[in-house]
Amino acid sequence: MNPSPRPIDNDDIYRVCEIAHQAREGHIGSSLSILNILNVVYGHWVRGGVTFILSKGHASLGLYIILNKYGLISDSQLTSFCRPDSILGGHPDCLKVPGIFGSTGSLGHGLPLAVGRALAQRASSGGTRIVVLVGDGEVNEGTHWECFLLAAHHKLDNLVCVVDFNGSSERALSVKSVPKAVSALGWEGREVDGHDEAELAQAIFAPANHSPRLVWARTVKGRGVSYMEGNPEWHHKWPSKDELLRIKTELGIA
Amino acid sequence: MRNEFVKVLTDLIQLNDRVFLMLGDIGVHGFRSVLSQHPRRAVNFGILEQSMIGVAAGLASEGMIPVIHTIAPFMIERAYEQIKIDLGYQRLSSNLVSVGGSYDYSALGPTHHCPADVNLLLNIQGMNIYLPGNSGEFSQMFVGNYRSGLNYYRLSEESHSIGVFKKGVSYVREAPGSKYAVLFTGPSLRFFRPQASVYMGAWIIYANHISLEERVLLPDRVKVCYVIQDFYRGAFDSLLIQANPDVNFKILSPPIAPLAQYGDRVSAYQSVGLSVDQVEEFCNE
Repeated sequence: MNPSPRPIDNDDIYRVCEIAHQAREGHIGSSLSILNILNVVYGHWVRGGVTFILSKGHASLGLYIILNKYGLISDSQLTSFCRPDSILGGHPDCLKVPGIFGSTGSLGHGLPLAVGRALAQRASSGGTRIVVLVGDGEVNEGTHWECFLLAAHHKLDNLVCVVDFNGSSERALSVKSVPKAVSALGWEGREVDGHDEAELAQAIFAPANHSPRLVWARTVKGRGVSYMEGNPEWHHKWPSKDELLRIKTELGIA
Repeated sequence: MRNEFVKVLTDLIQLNDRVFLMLGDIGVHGFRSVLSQHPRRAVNFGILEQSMIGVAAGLASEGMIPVIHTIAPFMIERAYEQIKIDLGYQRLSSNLVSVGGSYDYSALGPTHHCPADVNLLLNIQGMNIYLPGNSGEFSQMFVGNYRSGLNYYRLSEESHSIGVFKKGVSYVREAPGSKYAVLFTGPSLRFFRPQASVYMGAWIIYANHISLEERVLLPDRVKVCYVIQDFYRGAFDSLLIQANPDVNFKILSPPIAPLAQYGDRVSAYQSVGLSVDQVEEFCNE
């Protein structure tokens, strides 16, 4: 395990695109929007005291990039993404991949898992903080609202729910009012730039304050590649050879 | 059986600090002392069955032993995806304890009925379906198996008084050399009248546990087997047919349709062909 990885840089962004190109699979837009969040969370996870669940499992490629950065999976495992015999699928499988603590894919499942872990920690007087990363579209799901009520009622101050607010839900169902609504239910709310790792670390890992915490992380879908940024076309799409060359040039990869 | 469940859980939560009782806003009065004595491990979650299953998976991931209790259709049909993914795919242990299946809430209408639960759950790898026929069987099954595995205990308001049988398949009456057998499942054994002439000379077999891993092999020479089950056909009977390809099975089970009538439990089961007289008539054909 590598406890001190480098910050997210253009190499990481290019790697997401390159692996998606090779595998002809991957949710690039979401993977790029959460790289900074994942880097912050796993930076703390390696030091202990944190359990993390990626609820928006379709962004698994982003997660695998981070697991590779921390030495939890090898380069050859990473490049095997979505091959038949790979441990790395289009959605993460906690029974196959080290450093993953929930198998997700169908949206709306990660937050209940996290609430269960938080309740178990409380029941056994454990000190682990449970962090779950959900998508903004995922917040449409009823289980989120059930758990917003549940976690507030039980004052689960060892639970942090980070929302990747990359705007993807706005074309269907606006979620802009969610932070206010969830605060009204009894959660502590924080809003941050989801690409500023210092802000993220402060918001996610600040001392608990007698209530669950919602971190509303403003992100850009497809961040790092100009023509993917904010472009819903790149939700589930992989670059062609020519597009990959263009990305390489734009990112200044040697 | 529900009283026995309260009694068993009251003891186990005291003895095992990994037991976590989750109520879906039912059984709250019965469990009131457990809820007050163990507020961190006995929780009335309210009416949010989907999340409750997901939460159970989270608890199990941390080493707890969840015991989830609510009404069958809300736990199994409403939260089916959570059972399949959160518990099944992740191979997590939990105990799902339902009430109401199939038609126990007879007067409340089909929203509260659940004759499909066994079929649905048999699509999940590793699922153990327990059909306790009475309180003694429930107690024995639960205490013996709650610590691990994905377990569904189908509590019924109805029970039989033929005896307390072990988990699995038992012979209530042996008939060596006979071509005929009648197989009752769980509380359906209440429809068995031992002195009835129709059962003379036939094997009487009882099954109170179903899983994909368990093959129910009928005795040699049995060629015709009547199966009495108070849940939908399609899953358990398919396992029987696969395991015994030379046997002609005749299945008595509720028709796949919402139950149109209200009234008491006896008349509800009677309306789907399940009463002492109807079962005897079925086996006499």
